[in-house]
Amino acid sequence: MRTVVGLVLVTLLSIAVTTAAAHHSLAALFDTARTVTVTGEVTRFEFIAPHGYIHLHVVDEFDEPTVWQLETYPPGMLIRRGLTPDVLRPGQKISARGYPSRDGRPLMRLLTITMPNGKDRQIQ
Amino acid sequence: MAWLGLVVAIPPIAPAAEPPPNLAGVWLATSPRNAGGANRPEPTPRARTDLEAFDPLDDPVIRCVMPGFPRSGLIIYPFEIVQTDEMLVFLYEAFGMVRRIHMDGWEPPDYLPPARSGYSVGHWEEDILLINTTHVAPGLLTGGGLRQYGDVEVLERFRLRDDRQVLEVEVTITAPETFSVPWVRSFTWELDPDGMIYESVCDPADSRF
Repeated sequence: MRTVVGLVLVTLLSIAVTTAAAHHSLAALFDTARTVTVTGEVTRFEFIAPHGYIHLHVVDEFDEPTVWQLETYPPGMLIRRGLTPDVLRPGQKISARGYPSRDGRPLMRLLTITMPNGKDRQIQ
Repeated sequence: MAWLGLVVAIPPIAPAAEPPPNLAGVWLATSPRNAGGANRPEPTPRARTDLEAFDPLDDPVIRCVMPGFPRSGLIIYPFEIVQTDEMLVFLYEAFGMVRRIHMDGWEPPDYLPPARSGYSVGHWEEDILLINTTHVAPGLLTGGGLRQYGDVEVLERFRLRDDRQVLEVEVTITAPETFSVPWVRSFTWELDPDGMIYESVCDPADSRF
């Protein structure tokens, strides 16, 4: 029985990027003109610098599974935002909205996360 | 008696100098940081050519090379100031960059090799801390590919306001090979009284690009 129903939404947005990604060039590597939303199950949280990565097991409407990687801030910045490995754990179901990678991989720069309790948390 | 008329000259006691403002603490960025750069002057033809040819995958930070100053000092990551009379130490969370701000009286060695964070000398002008940084190794000024060619000089003017809760800085970046006029930027930081700076070790094996 499928336990995770993934949903991929692509939303065109026109957003002025006012915050530098700090390490690499955000706009060069991610498409900051649009956002993608994915829903799935957390399988891993790499709490590392210069970017943390949340792995999300997503199943689309054709039952195709994909592991998305949600790139985000390094540990210090995530601690200040309350997003730590003891809060976000493997097995939890979340949604994530972010800028998709320009090269088409299932990789995004995380902007907002919908936590298992349904509350949105803005990360970037 | 003659000695009774002697007047002993006692030098006046100099008033104690006001201690400089206390900048020590952890500071969190509050104003937006824009990699594209507000007020950015038009690049020189050389810098424009390099900018247009820039491949973001060639950015050394992808290989975990510290971006250096001023790039690292202008982004949204916090930093801590440790302050003594002789030196201020800026400890940045991003890439663990350290800047030593040598206060007036520092005698630099005859030869200073270029450094990614340069060499900084500071002094107080009343309540303003002025820091001049030179000898910065050539590198990127922004993640978008704007380069400096080893001629960059950075003047920072730090000032506390709002009862020591806000630190503001005006940064003047002079780089004749990159801009015909200096690039002036302004930022604010807020004090995080209970904050700390976290380790930020980067392993190139973790890079996705």
